Amino acid sequence: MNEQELIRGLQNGDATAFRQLVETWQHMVYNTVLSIVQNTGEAEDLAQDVFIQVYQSVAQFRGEAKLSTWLYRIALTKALDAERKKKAKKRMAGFRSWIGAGGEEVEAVHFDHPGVQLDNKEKAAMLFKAMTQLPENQRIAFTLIKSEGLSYEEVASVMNLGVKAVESLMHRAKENLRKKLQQYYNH
Amino acid sequence: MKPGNATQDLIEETLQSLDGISRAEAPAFFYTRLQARLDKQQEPGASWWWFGKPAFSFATLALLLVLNVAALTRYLKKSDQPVQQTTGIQGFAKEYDLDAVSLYSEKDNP
Repeated sequence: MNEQELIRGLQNGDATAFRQLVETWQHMVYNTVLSIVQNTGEAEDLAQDVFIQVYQSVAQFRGEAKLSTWLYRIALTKALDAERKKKAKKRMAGFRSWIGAGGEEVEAVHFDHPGVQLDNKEKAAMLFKAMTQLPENQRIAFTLIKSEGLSYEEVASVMNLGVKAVESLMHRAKENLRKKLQQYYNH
Repeated sequence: MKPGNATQDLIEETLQSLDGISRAEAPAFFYTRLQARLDKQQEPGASWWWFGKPAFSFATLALLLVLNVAALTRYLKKSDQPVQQTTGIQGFAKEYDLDAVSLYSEKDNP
């Protein structure tokens, strides 16, 4: 099935079309989500959520963007929502700890992305840790380019921005990452 | 070579550590588990999943509160109004300044 036929099939509730959608895009969705949430169990749940949302809302998909662009947007939204909830929980735990109501602050866990080359494992873990501190738009741009290997044009399409804006986000992301890594390495 | 340069080099190497990264693959049986989850959502009882949601409980509580306040307000409004006299003959006599005893006074009747 080509993309148009796939979308038509999905909108008609065709089970074969849905299976093809999942089999074609599951690794892309999973990798995108994993690179943000940095936890394999959570990434699998969220990746499933992405496909469930596609299943439930494909009728509203008008095809103004590519299917992959739409999938990236849903995956990034789900992953960043999960991150926001985790941060809110951490802040609450920190506050509870401060007022003596219990609840310990949980440190970010060392994340080992399975696709990183062996020689780079340790450095990549530091980089992923630093990425959690980036503002969201910078984090999206950096993740899509570095972890998913997208071009600036493709990232611009996903983020609904111009290419120059994406270049600016990448530049600022790297500056912020350098500052964070400096702190980590000087600690 | 200044010691700071080593850290800067390390930082740059770290920034490039994702070069050559390959995509992480979804776990085995991902589709099977996804399909099982979808099938469960489409079960008949699943349509009541919203019943247990906190938002539903809060909305129900708010509705009960509003109904009780409305009922209480109505009740209090009614009890503020004065009780009307319904005893017919006493009301008539009072209005026309009539007194049963004065009508039948022996002094006036020869």
